[in-house]
Amino acid sequence: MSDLSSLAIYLAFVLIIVVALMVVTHLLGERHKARGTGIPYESGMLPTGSARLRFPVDFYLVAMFFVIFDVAAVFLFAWAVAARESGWAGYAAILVFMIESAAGLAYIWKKGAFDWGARRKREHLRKHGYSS
Amino acid sequence: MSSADFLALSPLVLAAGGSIIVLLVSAFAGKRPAPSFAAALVVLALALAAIGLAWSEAPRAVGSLVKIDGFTLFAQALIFATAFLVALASYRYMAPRSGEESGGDSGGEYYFLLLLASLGASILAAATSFVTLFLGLELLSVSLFSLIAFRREKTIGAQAGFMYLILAGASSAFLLFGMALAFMATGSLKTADLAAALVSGTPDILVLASLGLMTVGIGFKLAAVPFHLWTPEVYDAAPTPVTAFIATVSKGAMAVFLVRFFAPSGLASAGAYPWIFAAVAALSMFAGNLLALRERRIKRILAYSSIAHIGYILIAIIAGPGRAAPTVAFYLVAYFAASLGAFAAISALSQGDAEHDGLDSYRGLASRRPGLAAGLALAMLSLAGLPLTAGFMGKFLIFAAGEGAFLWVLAVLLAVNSTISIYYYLRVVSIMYSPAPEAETAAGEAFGEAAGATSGTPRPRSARAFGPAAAVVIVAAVVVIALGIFPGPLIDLIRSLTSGY
Repeated sequence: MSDLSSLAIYLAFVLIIVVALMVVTHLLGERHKARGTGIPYESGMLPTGSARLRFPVDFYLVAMFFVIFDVAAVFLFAWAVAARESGWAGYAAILVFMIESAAGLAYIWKKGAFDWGARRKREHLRKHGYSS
Repeated sequence: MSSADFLALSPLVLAAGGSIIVLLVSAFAGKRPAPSFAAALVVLALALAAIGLAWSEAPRAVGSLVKIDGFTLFAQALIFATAFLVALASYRYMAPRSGEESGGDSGGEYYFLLLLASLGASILAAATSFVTLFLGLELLSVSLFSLIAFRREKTIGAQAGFMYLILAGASSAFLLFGMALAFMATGSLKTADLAAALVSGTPDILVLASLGLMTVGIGFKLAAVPFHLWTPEVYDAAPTPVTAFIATVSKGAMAVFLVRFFAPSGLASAGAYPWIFAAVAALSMFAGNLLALRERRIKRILAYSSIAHIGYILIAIIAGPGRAAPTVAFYLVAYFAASLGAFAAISALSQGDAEHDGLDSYRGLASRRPGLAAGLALAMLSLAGLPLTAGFMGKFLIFAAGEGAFLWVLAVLLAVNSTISIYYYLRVVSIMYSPAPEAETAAGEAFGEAAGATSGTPRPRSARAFGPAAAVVIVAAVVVIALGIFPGPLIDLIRSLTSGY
């Protein structure tokens, strides 16, 4: 029980300190409400537009593909250190895995997940009837 | 692995390899979904044919991961056949998604995902280890996320897909934690070892906690009552054929797994475990049927109805060795046929953008589309369990299986609930066969104001013609009537296949 009671004392101290810090800063901290307090740069330029920009989704795609094929590499390394011991059965298993990864790669390639930037955008515009 | 192992697994191997081919076909074969559709049908037919091949090796345990026996093969055949019919029912329904409207996507991935989901369900039906249980479950769930949200032009589908993603993720976490505890307590990942630990004397607290946690994960997949909240939303928002798939294959595979977990171990008659499932069964029956009474949208009615049917199936699952497997197998066939018929009829009606969902849009359907109305009515009667339909035989078998021991209480509750459920099933039928109101006759084919359809646009001619979905309605109707009048051969077949349970 002694170990639990020391944990309880510790927890109590954590709580006391956190609460005390919040209360004391609330009571003693200085507060001011000038004209520029609420804006991001009190002495700089005024912000324009919204912070919610539309990022190109390609970044996320590439990040996701990296993770997927990185995991494929992890499996390959795991097989490689035991290649001799696992024999032909292991080779067949990793071969099936690699063929499936290759099929996945072919699929996303064909779907155009790798062409990004200006060319894709131009094609998209042309498809929707805007001639450049 | 020996060649006999490969033969026993050949349906799964074919489905797995075929799904990769369908994926490549969907990317490389043009902008129409037709090639992927055809490829998926071929793969499913081959997988079905391979069941016969696997049968020559049954029963056979492949490692400790899966065991291929008569019951498993029966379930896998049912899963692949259902997926085949769902794919047929989807073709016209998903067609507007293809071509220019979707920015050049063929939409063929739909059939790839369908194939992958049925593969997951078949693995689940064969699992004897937590590894394969989890693998099959995740393969099924992950495919379903994308299938539910497949119609990207509809926000509500994405919303439901996201809801299913989060809830399925949470329930998988429960399931995984339960498996970890089971492994800690028994040192084994075999489901039979957990069952043995539960039956023997006073089990460890770890084992009990493991069963409790796993019940959450399994109950979510079954949509049994404390874990059913996702059902109406997801059923409503998913494409109708996908809803049919969730209602049948996804739940049926889990029911088969439960039978294989419970029946051989004698767990059904040990201690308090049956009571947990008895309580879940009773709650599911009552909640499903009572909530359906006031519902005005047919997909939601079917969602609540499926919750009630899971309650019925759970009675059979805890009925103990010798009775559980044949009863569940027959009930699944009857329930799959009726559900498929109902959802295929809804898909046939709601092609294009107009989802034919509100009950009011079914008023007078019998005079506009007499064939579909008859098929839908038959499916409803079978779900209600009226005599001369498959649903009646299914309920009768559950009643017979449940009369032993303490289960007679549940059998009585089953009868009470069947009576309640007749009200809302027959309401759908009576609405279809009542005359259409004046305004709607004037507007001609103006469907589904409740479903938010644009009633001014004329319906495309092709939507009225006989399509694959209507063929599925006919197949389902034939099965429902044949099993209702002449169930003997199937019952004998099931008895011989499930002799080990």
